[in-house]
Amino acid sequence: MPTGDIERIDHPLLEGLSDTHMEMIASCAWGDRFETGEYLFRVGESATRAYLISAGRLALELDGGGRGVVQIATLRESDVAGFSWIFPPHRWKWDGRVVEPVEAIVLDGEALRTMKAADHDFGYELLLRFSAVIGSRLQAARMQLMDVYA
Amino acid sequence: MTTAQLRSEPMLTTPTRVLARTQETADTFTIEVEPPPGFSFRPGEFTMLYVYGVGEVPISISGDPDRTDTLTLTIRAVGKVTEAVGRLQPGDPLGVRGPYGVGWPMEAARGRDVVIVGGGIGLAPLRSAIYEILNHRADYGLVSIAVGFRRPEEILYVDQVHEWRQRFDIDLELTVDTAGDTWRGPVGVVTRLIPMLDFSDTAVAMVCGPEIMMMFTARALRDRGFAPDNIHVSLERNMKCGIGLCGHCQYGQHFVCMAGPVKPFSQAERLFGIREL
Repeated sequence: MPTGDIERIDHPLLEGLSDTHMEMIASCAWGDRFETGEYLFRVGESATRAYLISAGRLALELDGGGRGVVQIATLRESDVAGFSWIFPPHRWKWDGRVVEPVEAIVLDGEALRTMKAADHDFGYELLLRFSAVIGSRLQAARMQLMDVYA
Repeated sequence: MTTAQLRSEPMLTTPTRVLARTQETADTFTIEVEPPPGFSFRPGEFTMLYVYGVGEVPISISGDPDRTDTLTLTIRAVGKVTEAVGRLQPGDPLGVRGPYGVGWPMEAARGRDVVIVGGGIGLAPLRSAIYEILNHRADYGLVSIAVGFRRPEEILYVDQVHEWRQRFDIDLELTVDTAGDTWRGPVGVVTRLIPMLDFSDTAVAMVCGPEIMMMFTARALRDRGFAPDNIHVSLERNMKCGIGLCGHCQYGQHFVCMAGPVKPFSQAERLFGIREL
């Protein structure tokens, strides 16, 4: 659970945040480790967390019924898993399965929602960073759609 | 006939034969061909393969430049001639012309870090550059290789890729666009690997794949500090004569068979941006 220790929170997503904002992050962040095969989240479940990955590999996948399980992306060191906590209805859109043991800073999304609503400067900084993650994921998905190796 | 003589008789097809054939993926295969006497090539160069009675097709050389006993070509069967090549078996005859074109900047890369990025069948022309580097490993700095394929079943040179991944003197990252849950490697487009590659600001990049993949990759490399002059891409056009006479491979002001296929991104980017070309 949250340690409040900003010295232990180091991830590219948080680069450049002020000490005040880092302390706000630290108030709802903790480090955790997840083992191979573990699911960090499942499609349709309530999205209450974000994971700032510092090691390992996490697959984003869906069970396509007759098509079997389809992996659409893997996330690794320096990546961020989870932005569904930002937008209503706050439900995960994908399964997140650990492929190689994952070490991550876990952020409490509900606490972050409360803080960004109360402090718009903090909210701006946070959404700016998560928007870049969303943009990068969108660009990757577009390139996959373009079938660039054809 | 030596390579020098072949280069002086560039329209002359040398009769030869297939030595071996390996099916790489559902639509891609590698053939070993008996090289014309004295044949040699530089990584990135291409040959014209002639299937008697069917036609001729340009194919990049994917083999080891230090081997003189075999000429290796990896081909995707996508048309009449390449499908005919795919039906050839060991002992069957075919003709070879070349080698032609401007290859990878191996001399310029000596003493510098090298980044190699391949997409799909684009790994084939890069493989000869990888052989060259591994044959003379001490001549190069850090070597980072990133390759992307659509699916795990479409990975080229699977055994060799595994072998390269286990080496301590190169770094190889591989990704696929989509996979089932038995795949344990990265999933995502090849450009997602670029932030993980190590190189200095004088590094040389060699990029090969479909144009759209090369464009995205070169831009991602530039975003990481690569000078466009140090990024080299391999242009794909329909080469016919191989010696700049027929004009089939004209790309803007260039005849790709003579001025390419390898060009610096600083020159290729403008061409990539012209829709009519």
